[in-house]
Amino acid sequence: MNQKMEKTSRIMKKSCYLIDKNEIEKAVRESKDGFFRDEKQFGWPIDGEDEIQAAKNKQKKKSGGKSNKKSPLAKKMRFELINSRVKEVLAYHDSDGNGKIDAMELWRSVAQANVLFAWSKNLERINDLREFKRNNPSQFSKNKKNLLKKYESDMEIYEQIKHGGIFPPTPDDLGVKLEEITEEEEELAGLDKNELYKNEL
Amino acid sequence: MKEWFSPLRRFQGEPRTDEKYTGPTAYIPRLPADELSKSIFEGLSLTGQPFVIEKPISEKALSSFALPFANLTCEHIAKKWPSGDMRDEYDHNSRMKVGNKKWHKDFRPTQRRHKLHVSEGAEVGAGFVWHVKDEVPDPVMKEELKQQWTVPDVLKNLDGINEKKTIISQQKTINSEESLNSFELWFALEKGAVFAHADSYCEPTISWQLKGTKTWRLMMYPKSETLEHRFNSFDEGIYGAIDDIAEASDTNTSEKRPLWRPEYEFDVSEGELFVFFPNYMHETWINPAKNSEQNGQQKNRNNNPSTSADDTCTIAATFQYQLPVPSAYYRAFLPRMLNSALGFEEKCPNRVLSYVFFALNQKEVNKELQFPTVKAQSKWSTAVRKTLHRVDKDNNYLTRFF
Repeated sequence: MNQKMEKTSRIMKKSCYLIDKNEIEKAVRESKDGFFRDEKQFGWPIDGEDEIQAAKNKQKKKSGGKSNKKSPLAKKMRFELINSRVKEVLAYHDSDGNGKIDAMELWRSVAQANVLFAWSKNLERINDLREFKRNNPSQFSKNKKNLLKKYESDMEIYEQIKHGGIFPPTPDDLGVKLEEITEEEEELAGLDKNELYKNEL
Repeated sequence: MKEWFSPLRRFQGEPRTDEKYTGPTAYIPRLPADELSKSIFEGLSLTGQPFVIEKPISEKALSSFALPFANLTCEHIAKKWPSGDMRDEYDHNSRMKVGNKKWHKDFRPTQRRHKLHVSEGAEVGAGFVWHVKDEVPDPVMKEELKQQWTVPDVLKNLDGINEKKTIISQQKTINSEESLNSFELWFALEKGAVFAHADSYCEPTISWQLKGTKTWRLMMYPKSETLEHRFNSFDEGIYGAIDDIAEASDTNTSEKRPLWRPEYEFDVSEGELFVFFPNYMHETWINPAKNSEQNGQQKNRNNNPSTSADDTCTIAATFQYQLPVPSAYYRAFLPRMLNSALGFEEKCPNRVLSYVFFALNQKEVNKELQFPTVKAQSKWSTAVRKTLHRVDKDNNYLTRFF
């Protein structure tokens, strides 16, 4: 028991980088192709032209005419877009709902995206392989070894990660600081060591 | 280091679902239009909670409440824009001219019936959809149709100021323009039905009931982990799919249960808007019992006892909105989003990748997606450090007890 109590007393306090709303807004404003990809996907002109006018302007642009990106309406819409993107980015990362993004939240998002998008890509490859096998059985058996080899290494790593191969980063990895907590600070924080011990089990 | 994650230390992956299914018992949030604030709308949108917007309660708001295509029946629409070109939902492929009387006069049963549908296998009819955005023969007609459009208040209610904090007189917003440029009209006679499917839109969708009452059933796209879990999520496909992830704890037999287990069932009446999110599976039905009653009341009000099929022709407008992107919803359901047509065909989840990396452009996103490599994990930490140094301009810190 004493040993376990000793373990819980090694509670650390973590200092961690935080990204707030203003910083997200700055990043969104700097971005042109990243955050604003959807702008290109709108099926209508953001500068407020009607469809007939847009077709005429398109012709003009081909012959060297200027676009209308600085129109008051286009500016207003860009403002709307930035405002919304800030909320969207925050909502994406902010799993504890404190209105800020900390280093661990960011790490979890990055790790999740890497694993899931790679997993999805691998599923597609396997799907293609199956299609290939179905449609070209003779060619498949001829090239079987090479085809499977192509996917083996990816799948091996994926399986490793899927079954618990992901370990959280160290503070050094993320460039955050850890300090040892004093007994006084523990008391001030109202930490109940016995409760913490229960959670450990 | 494990102190950071002590509760998850022995976590071995997601547990398999074995929930007992008791029917569509979830409650759909319903909010009167004049009580739906911008922040509530944004909150529901970011998290992807489907909801219904009811007609306004206050007399003032109700007096200015207007429906698109107001006072136009199916017959009026057919006469007004006869050269319009609709898709026939009988086979999801054939075409029908808007001017053809058949679609709003004659009931025509669907090719199949489904016991799992909300109609419980009763005879149902196929409807028609007019994708106004790209199935109108000329721009002049399109402008006429746009003139009939009314932007719902909830899509106008965005910041009307530009970067210099000056008020801009134009009422146009990204969402109002999107609604104007994306709406499509759905027509169905009594007993009309749409079988369960997921749409291919990456954006949230609103269905505005303009005439009649429609019954909806709704289900989140099911958990999907491997290629074997893929199924035809388009029309009717899910009715034939078996759930092989969930163990059916509600039965002691070895009988496998169907994948289609809707969570919500509710009615959307004339004037109400129903908001739902990408990949939500849904089916609909024009329940004759609910609509005949309304038609009866309408006829009594008009002192007109005559009946025609057109009286039972219901209209709904469906359209999308752009902001906010349901980012928390995409994040929460990322695995099933990726392993569905919305992922492998439409690539919708790719839209949130720039949010993950605070990326300046697409090239950077591709560079940051490091997997699979043996050193992937250290590279992810490097990506986080880089992002923090770039984005966290004031280098502020949070102190927490762990």
